Amino acid sequence: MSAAGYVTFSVGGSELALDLAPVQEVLRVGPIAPIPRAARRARGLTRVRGRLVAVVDVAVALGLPVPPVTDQSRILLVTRGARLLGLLVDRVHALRPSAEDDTPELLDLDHLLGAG
Amino acid sequence: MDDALHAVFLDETLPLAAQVEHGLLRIERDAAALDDAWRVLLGALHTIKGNCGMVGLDAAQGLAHAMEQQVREVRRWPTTAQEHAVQTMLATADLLRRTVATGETPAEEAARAVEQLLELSPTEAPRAEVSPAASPAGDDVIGPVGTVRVESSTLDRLLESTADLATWLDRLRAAIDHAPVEPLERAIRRLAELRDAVLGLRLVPLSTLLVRYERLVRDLGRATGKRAVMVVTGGDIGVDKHVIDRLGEPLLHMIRNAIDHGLESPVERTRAGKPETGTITVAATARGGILNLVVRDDGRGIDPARLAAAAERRGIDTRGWGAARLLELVFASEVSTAEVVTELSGRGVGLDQARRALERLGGSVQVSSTRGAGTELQIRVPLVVAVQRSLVVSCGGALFGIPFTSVVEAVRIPRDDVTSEGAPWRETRIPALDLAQLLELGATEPAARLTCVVIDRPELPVALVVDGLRGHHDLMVGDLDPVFGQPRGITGVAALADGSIVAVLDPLAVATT
Repeated sequence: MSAAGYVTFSVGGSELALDLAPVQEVLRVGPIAPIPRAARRARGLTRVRGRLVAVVDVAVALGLPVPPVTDQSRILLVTRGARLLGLLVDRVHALRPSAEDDTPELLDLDHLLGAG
Repeated sequence: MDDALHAVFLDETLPLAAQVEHGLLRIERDAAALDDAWRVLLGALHTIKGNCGMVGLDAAQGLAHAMEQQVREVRRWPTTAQEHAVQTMLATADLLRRTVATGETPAEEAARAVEQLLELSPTEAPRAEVSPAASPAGDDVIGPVGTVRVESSTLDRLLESTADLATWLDRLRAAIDHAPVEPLERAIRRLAELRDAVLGLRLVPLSTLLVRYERLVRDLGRATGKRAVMVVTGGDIGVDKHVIDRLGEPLLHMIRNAIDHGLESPVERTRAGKPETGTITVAATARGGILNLVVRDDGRGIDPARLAAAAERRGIDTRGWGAARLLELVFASEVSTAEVVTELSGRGVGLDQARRALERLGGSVQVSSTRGAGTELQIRVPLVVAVQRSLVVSCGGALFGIPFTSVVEAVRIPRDDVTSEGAPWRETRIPALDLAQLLELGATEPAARLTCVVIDRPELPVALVVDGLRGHHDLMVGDLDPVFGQPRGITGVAALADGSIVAVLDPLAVATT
């Protein structure tokens, strides 16, 4: 279990948590440019301080219903080796220092993004 | 050893170890090139010896010393004795390179190698074939050339920062109402210079990649009972490290294929009146930001008639196909076709992936072949992958970059003139394809005149119909994250100065899907 804690969020009607260690920051959703012929889970590219970042639609990736982007929606910016990716979620709830009984299911980044 | 010192040691010594191998291969190949080759070889060995001594790699130092001594001797020996000596030294060079790269010293192995070296004599006939190198050549990383070690990711960040800075300066210029302000204009010009300088830092001589294959060619030839040498020209051309890194795999496939399937056995070659030793030529030239690489073998060539016959057996209708189009089958990615090709010429395996890898670089590859005389692959890739001069077009609400290397021109054609027969262009008709439809984008804006980008193709150009033109841009192209899958025809992404995002297309890959 991570010492850094967890961030909890909702996506596609489900509550989930993510290890904080790879999370760089939580961003409001800016313009996202879709890429034609891309895998469905890849929502598109957004610009974060001059850098182009792939945005993963977590709801699509997990096969959950996909609600529209609202002003509650957030992008969790995560690092993965040399990769920098954004995870699009419906709403971010809280940071938790440690796992408790009511901590929701942990999001598996390996499964979501592929290894590496 | 302290990390920084070790890094410097590797930077300096690994290229030298590669030079030793290169020198030995030169001597093996061409007895006339001697004087110069020996001198370079001795110089490299001497420096390696010194470097290894400084960092305490005693066994490697011993190896280098023994080699240096023997090289001085061997130089005066008759050619036949030299041949055997060079074989032994190649095995030692391999061990030396591994020792330097890993910092590990297999003491016994080193001692045995020194012994073998010292046993070499000008009169004694070669006793046994030297066992081939333990590790396949070509796997090892050849360190960057130069004295300052900078992580290439640092350079990328530097480049990103310059790009970002350019964006902000442009916004600043817009914010102060377009009145030219001299200091700002100067800053913008200096920034452009800075960007060029940063890009220049990433250039690496092509030879750092090609020396790996020289050994591979020789070893692979031996493994398949053939004789092969590699001839390189243009190795001094500076190429973006990103390009070098991405060229490695596809080139490997091509060279392997040339030896495995292109070259004939020595007996066959003699019968055909060719020299026993086959030649793999890698010729590089650079012009206008493009690296042209030709990989040529002087082997048996590919027979298009046989390709056609085999393809037809598998239900592919090749009637009316010209030789060039038939040859294109060597790049076919459909498994059945690849099998056809493999069964016939062995060319299918890997070449489809090689082409895709080159396409992702914004490059291309074409094949030509003459029966009995050999096969040639012509590769075109940008010298610097980060900057791609492109025509930016809008289509279905998104922006796309089309590399200049593939654009013939952009023209407006009355909608009514474009039919299912294509579009009129320069006294002929060429196929017209709707980019929005190809990429399944939203509806295009209706217009009386269609904007067409004419794309260069080997046979007939093709017109891509787009919504509008957004001008020429030097795009700093980045890789698409793997999470996107590998969308066919999209080679990378870039941002314009105003922050809008551009998907860079390989127009041919887009049009052929």
